[in-house]
Amino acid sequence: MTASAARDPEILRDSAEVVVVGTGAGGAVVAAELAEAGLDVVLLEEGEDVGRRDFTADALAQVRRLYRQRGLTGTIGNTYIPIPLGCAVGGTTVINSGTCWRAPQEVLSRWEREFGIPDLVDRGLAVEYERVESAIGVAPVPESLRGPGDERIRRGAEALGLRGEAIPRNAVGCRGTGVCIFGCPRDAKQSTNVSYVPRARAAGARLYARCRVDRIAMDGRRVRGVLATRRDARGRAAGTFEVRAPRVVVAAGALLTPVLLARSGLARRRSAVGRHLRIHPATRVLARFDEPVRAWAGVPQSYHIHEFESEGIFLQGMWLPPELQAPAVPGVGRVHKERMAAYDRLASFGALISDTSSGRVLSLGGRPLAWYRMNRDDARRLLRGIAIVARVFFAAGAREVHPGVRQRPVLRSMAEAEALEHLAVRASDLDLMAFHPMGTARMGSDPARSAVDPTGRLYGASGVWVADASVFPTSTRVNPQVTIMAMATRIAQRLAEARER
Amino acid sequence: MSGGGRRVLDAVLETLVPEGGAFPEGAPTFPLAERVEEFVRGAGAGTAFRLLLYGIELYPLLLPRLGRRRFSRLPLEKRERVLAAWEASRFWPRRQALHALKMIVLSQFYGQPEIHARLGYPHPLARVPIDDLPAPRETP
Ligand SMILES: Cc1cc2nc3c(=O)[nH]c(=O)nc-3n(C[C@H](O)[C@H](O)[C@H](O)COP(=O)(O)OP(=O)(O)OC[C@H]3O[C@@H](n4cnc5c(N)ncnc54)[C@H](O)[C@@H]3O)c2cc1C
Ligand code: SF4
Repeated sequence: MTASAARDPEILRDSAEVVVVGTGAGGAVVAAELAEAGLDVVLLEEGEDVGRRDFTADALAQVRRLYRQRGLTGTIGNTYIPIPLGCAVGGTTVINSGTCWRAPQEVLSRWEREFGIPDLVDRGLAVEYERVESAIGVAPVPESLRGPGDERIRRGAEALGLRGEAIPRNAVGCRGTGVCIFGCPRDAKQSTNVSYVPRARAAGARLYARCRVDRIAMDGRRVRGVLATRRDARGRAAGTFEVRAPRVVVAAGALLTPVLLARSGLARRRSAVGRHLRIHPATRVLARFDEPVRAWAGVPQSYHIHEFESEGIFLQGMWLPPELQAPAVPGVGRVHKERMAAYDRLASFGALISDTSSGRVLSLGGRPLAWYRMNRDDARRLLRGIAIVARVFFAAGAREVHPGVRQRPVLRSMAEAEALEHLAVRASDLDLMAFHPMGTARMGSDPARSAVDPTGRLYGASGVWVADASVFPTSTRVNPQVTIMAMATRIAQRLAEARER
Repeated sequence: MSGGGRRVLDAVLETLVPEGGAFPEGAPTFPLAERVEEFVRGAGAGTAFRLLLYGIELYPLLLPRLGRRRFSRLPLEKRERVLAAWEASRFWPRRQALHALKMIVLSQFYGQPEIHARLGYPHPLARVPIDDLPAPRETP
């Protein structure tokens, strides 16, 4: 059952063999794998236990309900970069687009060669990927569900001779309602709230939603359990909750995990905790056509152009309802209204890069303060991605393109799109966002360079593991969710083995 | 928000989405200020938002060509020019501030069913009904 600690004031304590903090891509997988291996597991989640009946497809209501700080989380540095995070049972998987890509083998091999994580050069994460992909039903988006904006892109890419294809997603029985990032109202998207969390619970794990873990309790170097604040349905503090356990797995996401470790006194001086933040800076490019596109009618992230992946440039579908598309439309007042009135003729497409820049997460009163400076090379590569998308849109017949670049807010021709790439830009000239924070408790065999060992165990403490996007030693290059899940599968197996010894 | 703060907010809202033009509705057509205030309060960003509004209000005092008048006392056309200049600014905090403002205000405005209808955007569950699904799983 969902033991809603706030509703049952008598439940103030529990104990388990393992406590898992967070129910997103990492935490839910660890909890299910461990519970199915016979361990007694407690799963704690700060957000609500939500389900299909809550997912009304109303973007603003869902942002309030499912997004941390109503979507206003992000990084500061040489510009502001919003990074939305999910806060619900299922974590950010509830609000993600469902795209499922394996990290390229060269990335995994590098993790072995440079960071000493064994078994990656020879077999990668193939076994774990297969296990995850079959659990969440990964398959390419059928043509019939392709978003009309993505279809325009496909045609434009074909005209320019660029290679692209349907995106593999974890959406079983998808009907193309197009609101994946506000919670799938059909339970088609196999976010962890409908896949791994129910599995964990079926195997006996106890889930406590609306419980924010404030601190990992230690006896010297050995973990004793966790202390959490319970919240009522309106978000007000409703008492404390203690779970005793000899093992704690932290999977609060790459922006929150370092904060929890720091609050618990587990971020040693000069340790890797909180450092090496990667985010995959991204942006969207809008295009206006002469004829109606009705880009909302299909899967918003259904097609990608993979021609430029060797440069670390990833071009993939992205569509948003009017309330979230409007801020990216250039202009204010009447000019802006004029452009929004053509909403049914708009299409948009995303560009993201695998970053070489990095940042840092600090704990400020228990909230993450993320600092990230995007370097010129990354800004240039992203600009190249934007320029390519603009060209593809013009090749598909767009009348006008809004690239989100300060110096050129509106492009009106292919020639202008081609010239865009040669503009000198800084990060702050681009309308940025990011969706893939990672790396803030990176894995490796050298405690001086890494936060956790190759099994996921935190250096400098006994009984604390990390199993979320934080553990990646470098950028995964591609969208990370299945790699997080595959790594979490491996970490769970190592943890279960360690317990048997 | 105090009377002064509210006056600035109303002026900003009207500037971002005036009535008339491409379609009749604008910020003044709806109780948008209350929704915006509630949204920023809920996000824990109330203080930052108020500071931003005061920044906008006082900024034109630095500009002789606008007659050194506060933002909320300028006619609509000049207010539009001020915010458009913020959007194009090379000073990134100013540009980002305008971007954040657009995000907060425009999301509230364009999230209304009347505006969806105006833009021809159908509710996703009206377009693809979920009636053919079995009842959602019950939380045991
Ligand atoms: C809009 C959007 C679209 C995306 N689309 C894709 C996509 O298509 N494909 C892809 O691969 N990736 C996508 N991502 C990214 C992907 O969803 C994340 O990388 C992934 O979910 C991260 O997993 P995680 O386990 O590290 O953290 P999360 O999934 O964020 O889970 C962390 C959980 O821990 C909880 N938590 C945090 N602190 C505490 C605490 N102190 N106590 C208790 N609980 C706590 C949080 O509430 C959250 O539920 C997208 C992200 C966004 C925002
Ligand atoms: S497009 Fe498919 S996966 Fe996305 S919300 Fe709709 S039914 Fe769910």
